Amino acid sequence: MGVSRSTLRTEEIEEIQDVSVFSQREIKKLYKRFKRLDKEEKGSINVEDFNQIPELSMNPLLPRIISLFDSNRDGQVNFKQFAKTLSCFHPNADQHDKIKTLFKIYDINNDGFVTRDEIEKILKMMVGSNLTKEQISDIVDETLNEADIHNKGKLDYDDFFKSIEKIGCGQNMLSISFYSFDM
Amino acid sequence: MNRSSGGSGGGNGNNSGSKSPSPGSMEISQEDTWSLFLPTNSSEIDEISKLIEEKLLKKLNKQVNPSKKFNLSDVSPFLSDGVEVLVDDEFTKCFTSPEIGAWNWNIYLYPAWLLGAFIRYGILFPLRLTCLIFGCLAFAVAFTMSSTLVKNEAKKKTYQRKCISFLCIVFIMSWSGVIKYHGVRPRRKKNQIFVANHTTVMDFVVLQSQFNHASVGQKHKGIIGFIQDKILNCVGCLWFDRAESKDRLLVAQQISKHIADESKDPLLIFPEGVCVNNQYCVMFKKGAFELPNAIIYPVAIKYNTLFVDAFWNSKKQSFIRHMFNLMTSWALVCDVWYLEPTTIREGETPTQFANRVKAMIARKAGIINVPWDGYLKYFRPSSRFSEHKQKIFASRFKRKIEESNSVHDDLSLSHSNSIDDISQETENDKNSVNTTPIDTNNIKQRKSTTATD
Repeated sequence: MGVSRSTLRTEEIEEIQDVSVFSQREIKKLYKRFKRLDKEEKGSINVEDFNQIPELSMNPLLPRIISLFDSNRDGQVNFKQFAKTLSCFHPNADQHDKIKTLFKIYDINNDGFVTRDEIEKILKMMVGSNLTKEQISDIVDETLNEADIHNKGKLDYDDFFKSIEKIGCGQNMLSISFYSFDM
Repeated sequence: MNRSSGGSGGGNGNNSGSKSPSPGSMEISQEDTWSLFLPTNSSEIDEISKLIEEKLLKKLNKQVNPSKKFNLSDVSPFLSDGVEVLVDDEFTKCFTSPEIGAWNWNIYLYPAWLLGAFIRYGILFPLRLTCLIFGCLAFAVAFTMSSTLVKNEAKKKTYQRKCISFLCIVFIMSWSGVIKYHGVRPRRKKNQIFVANHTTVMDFVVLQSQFNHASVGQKHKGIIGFIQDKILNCVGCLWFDRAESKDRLLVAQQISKHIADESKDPLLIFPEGVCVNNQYCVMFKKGAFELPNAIIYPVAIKYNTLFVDAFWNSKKQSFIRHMFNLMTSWALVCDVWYLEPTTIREGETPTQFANRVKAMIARKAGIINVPWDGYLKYFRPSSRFSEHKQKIFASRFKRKIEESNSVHDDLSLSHSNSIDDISQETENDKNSVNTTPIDTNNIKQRKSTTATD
């Protein structure tokens, strides 16, 4: 009842709409979620608070997911960053954006290249201590050799994109449903 | 608090080092230091693990190309899973107050709402507050008188407990509580433990007004702490600190002693350990269910959200604020069901027993039964869940390596079935064709047993 506190202004919604594929309704819903995660009500989420969602803190790739959102690496995620990153996961988002998101997961140092080392780190995160170092190394070699068509020893975005296309990612890769969640 | 630092590590799971991630008992007993009500029994782990395993396998089957090498797009199921729970997750839902849309911004309804608000805040609230204050004063006088003047111990106790019942009625009156009790009110017996789902501290008051209960619960500070210390001690309540591990063992012993003594008041326990929003039912701590000879009397409490949300979100609201909300609403409507008493079945572990009772309560109260542990509000989940996911993902590489070594040892790891799941479509190997149906059968069986519980 009464007025709900601190809602988004129309300009803010429009600003978010410019950088994302969300509808106004979806933005409003996301904002509610954002406020819930923003424990201190300061307009941004501490990246450590991502751990407060138990299911998320069980995700082996959590550090990479965080850096996807925290694009300027200041430990804070504001609503614009939040919405913009989530936008890539919308079913209507451009396939290129999705693959770019995937690329960012691998590009740990953010230099525009995916090196052998970075692939290895990601694979290590996903398999933990279940494989030996040599086994991981073998698997990474195979993956890299296949994608690295110019034999540079690392992948730029073009190589990465072609590799993903060749494997044939599913239509709904990196697409999640934003309609079903009710708050 | 030790555990939170142990299980954290940024939650990234690759800090596991040399620890073998087998769901064996070693790791469990290590973390058992503060465990009276802790989810460290192996079958409890399984329930959450099962949940995340099913979810992950569904995604892997759909999205990961089942070739046996690592594809760059293979991170996508993990990624989309992470983002999905960031947008919406079941655990958070258990602890959020339902949002009530503004309905009153309308030329017809606004005056009506205004009038209603005026009555609630301007008339009802002062009236109720006065009643509450006088009730409390009368209670304080009567309670101190009976504590100091009456010399006979047995009589003193009867008077004190009558006072407490009176106070509970005053409290319920202060929110115009309309409480419907269903089922047979149980008689006092030996080894009786009442367990109920937990929404607010007022649960205790609601049940106390029917007959005196002793309770076990979290120590509070401030006004509740005062009530706990000075007043409720005469019904034999046991308080402990959620974060103190030593307290727990002691409490377990005290509980056993308490319930064996028939002259004491029956014990009421809220095994969820935290207040939940009354739409979900989170994990029951096994503590109360592993006491020998205990007869469990389940009690289901369902609050009607028509006028007020009775959920006490203790992280957001102070107790006073919560009371104020209750006292300014039209009424608090709630149903209480006393269910059939039950004891642990032969061959049943305390955890299974706890889950069975939980399912009974959830069904009766019409709330959603989820396996999450409410203490995750305060502590991070153990890294073994993350390790479990890694194990599932790694299993297909392991199998490939095994095959290339042509070692056809029947290793039958606990997760060989998950390998079959992932590679189901392409696998022509007769082995997997044979094992897959059996495995799905197993899962079905597991499901059906949990459903019938």
